[in-house]
Amino acid sequence: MAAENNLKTLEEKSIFILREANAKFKHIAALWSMGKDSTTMLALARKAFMGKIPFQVIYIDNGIDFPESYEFMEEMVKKWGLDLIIAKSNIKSELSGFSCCGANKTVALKKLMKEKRFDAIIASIRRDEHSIRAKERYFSPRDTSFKWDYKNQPAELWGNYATKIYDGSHFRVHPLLDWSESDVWRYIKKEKIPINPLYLAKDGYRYRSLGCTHCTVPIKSSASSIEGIIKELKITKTEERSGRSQDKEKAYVMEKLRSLGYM
Amino acid sequence: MDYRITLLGEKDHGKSTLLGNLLIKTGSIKRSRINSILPSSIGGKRFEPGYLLDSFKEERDRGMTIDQTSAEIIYKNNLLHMTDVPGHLELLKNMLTGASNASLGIFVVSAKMGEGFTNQSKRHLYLSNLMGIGAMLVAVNKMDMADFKEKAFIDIKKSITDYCSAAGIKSRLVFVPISAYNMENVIERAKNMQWYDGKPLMHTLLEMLEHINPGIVEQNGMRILIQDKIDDAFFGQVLYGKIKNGSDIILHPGGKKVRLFNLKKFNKVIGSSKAPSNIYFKLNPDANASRGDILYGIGEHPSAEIVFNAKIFPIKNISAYELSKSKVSFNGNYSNVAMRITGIFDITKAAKVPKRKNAAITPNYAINMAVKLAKKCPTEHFNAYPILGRFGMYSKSGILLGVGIVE
Ligand SMILES: Nc1nc2c(ncn2[C@@H]2O[C@H](COP(=O)(O)OP(=O)(O)OP(=O)(O)O)[C@@H](O)[C@H]2O)c(=O)[nH]1
Repeated sequence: MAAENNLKTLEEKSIFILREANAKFKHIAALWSMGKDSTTMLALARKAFMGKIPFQVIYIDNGIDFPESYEFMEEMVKKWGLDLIIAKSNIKSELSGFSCCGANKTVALKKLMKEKRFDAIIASIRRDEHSIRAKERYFSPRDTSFKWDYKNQPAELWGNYATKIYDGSHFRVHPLLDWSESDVWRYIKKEKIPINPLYLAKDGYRYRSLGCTHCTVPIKSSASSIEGIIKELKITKTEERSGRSQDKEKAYVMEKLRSLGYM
Repeated sequence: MDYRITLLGEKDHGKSTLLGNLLIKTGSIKRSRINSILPSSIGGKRFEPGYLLDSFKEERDRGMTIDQTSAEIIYKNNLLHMTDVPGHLELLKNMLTGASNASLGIFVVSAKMGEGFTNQSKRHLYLSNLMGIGAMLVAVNKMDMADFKEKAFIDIKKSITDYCSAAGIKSRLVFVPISAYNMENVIERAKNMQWYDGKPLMHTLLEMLEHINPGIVEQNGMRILIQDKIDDAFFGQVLYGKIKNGSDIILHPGGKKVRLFNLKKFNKVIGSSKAPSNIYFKLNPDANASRGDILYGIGEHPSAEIVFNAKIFPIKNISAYELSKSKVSFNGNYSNVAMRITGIFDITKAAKVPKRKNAAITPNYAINMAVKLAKKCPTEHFNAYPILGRFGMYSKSGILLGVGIVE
């Protein structure tokens, strides 16, 4: 045993989940926020499907993301040949936290799902992000209004995931559920996955978790390389999402957001 | 190796408390997460470490785990994947979700007067043994409520060993008395249980893990499960054995000899691959192979494809008559196939089995049943190739009725 997850084991499991999702759903797409987790997920999908990602990639654009992120997006679309859909979400400037992510992004995604009739959406959430996420399934059903019936989740025995779709509902697929924040960074380093430059420290600050410009604040850090981030994570005492607007992470707010379909 | 450990046991006997306190005392969780469950942040009278796992508001209000949760513990430089599961009878489905991947169980049973080794404790022990968890660390908990008396420990130990021999449970059991709330004899030796001469819980756990088989049984045979086909290529998993690029193999159902070629992993052609591994390949001829089919080594074949005997543990009360009349489904090996129960046999001596046709089958033990699948689906004896010999039994409307192993 060792005190770190084995990256090979994590990789095999994620590839299995991605292949399983692609085999079972007719209209599947992946959410890509341009952050480290969803970019890692795309790198895994490239490995799973012999270099060519077989599904569309959705970016929900609320118009207030960082300029660095937009640049990174263009670069990656070219580099990996992504079939990208940009879903415009109309941001109301007075909203932030709960209402910003809860309302705007979800409205945009709902609209897109209706148009495109997606029956499954790949989301790169991880168990260690929040104690509510630790209860997620790899394949998690949502109802028509995107609600997560968390008190009555399907059984998930071994690798046999529930995929039965009831009218209008869809599944969330979570290939990165087993990964920790530091696993993601170790994998990014090992596989040389391109990352959004906002994660690296500049003038003493870096972003540890990326939401939009309204709900993310940078942390004090001198980690200007991936190696530096991995070292920093070994000693930090705070949680990853501490750079997100506080209201969203408080007790039970996350539960409410997720049950309402927030990503 | 990747060790997955599941907590097991009756509700309120202290599973969440044990895991919560372990997360805190081993420093496996960030301070801010601990602060978030202090009575000063969320109300409540006393500090409940179990709230680290029981994160739903309703779980805290009702004082019980509703759904399983996973958490990692770092102890003496080992990473332990732990799963907390609900103890309540109605929630066996969630318990199974949590326990199905574990190779070792920490079975928590309370020594407090009036709690003890209950029917639900028996279910958890029985089910986990059925599903192949061969080693069980029995944490006899709440010793503080039993005045740390040796007799309380010995009584529980005896009722568990008696039950196991009657029910034919052959798991390796190791007993440790603890108090999870006060962390007595969990990491450090307890001062008020001088009569106990063994090691504390965590020490015992590491010793047990050293001797455990993490689910990968060494087998001579080769099994590759086909997961998907895109254009003329296949995606699959090597579950057992080793495959060489360019070798002849047997496709089941059907038994046709085909050649596997263009074996790839991550876009690179490779000479061979061994379990466990996700691979890509082509077949010549492709013989209409599809999802759920299995590739075998020359001279090998599935133990059954249509009719077989299974041991099925029902997770709720079911009428034996209804069950034999209704269409259920077999969910395993990438397949979801209509299934019929053609016989229900009396096999266990652990409890009474209903003789009358309309009697209920209760979620207390596994029942030997003869089953018939609507179409061919290769399966294996659970004892030989466990991954290909276990399944969920679902109702027509998609509700989990039970779990089974192929005999
Ligand atoms: N005195 C005492 N109380 C304990 C001990 N361990 C747990 N408890 C208490 O017993 C109650 C139930 O404990 P939980 O950890 O929630 O029980 P559980 O087994 O996880 O229950 P479910 O999740 O519903 O299956 C809590 O109030 C704990 O504080 C112990 O060692 N001593």
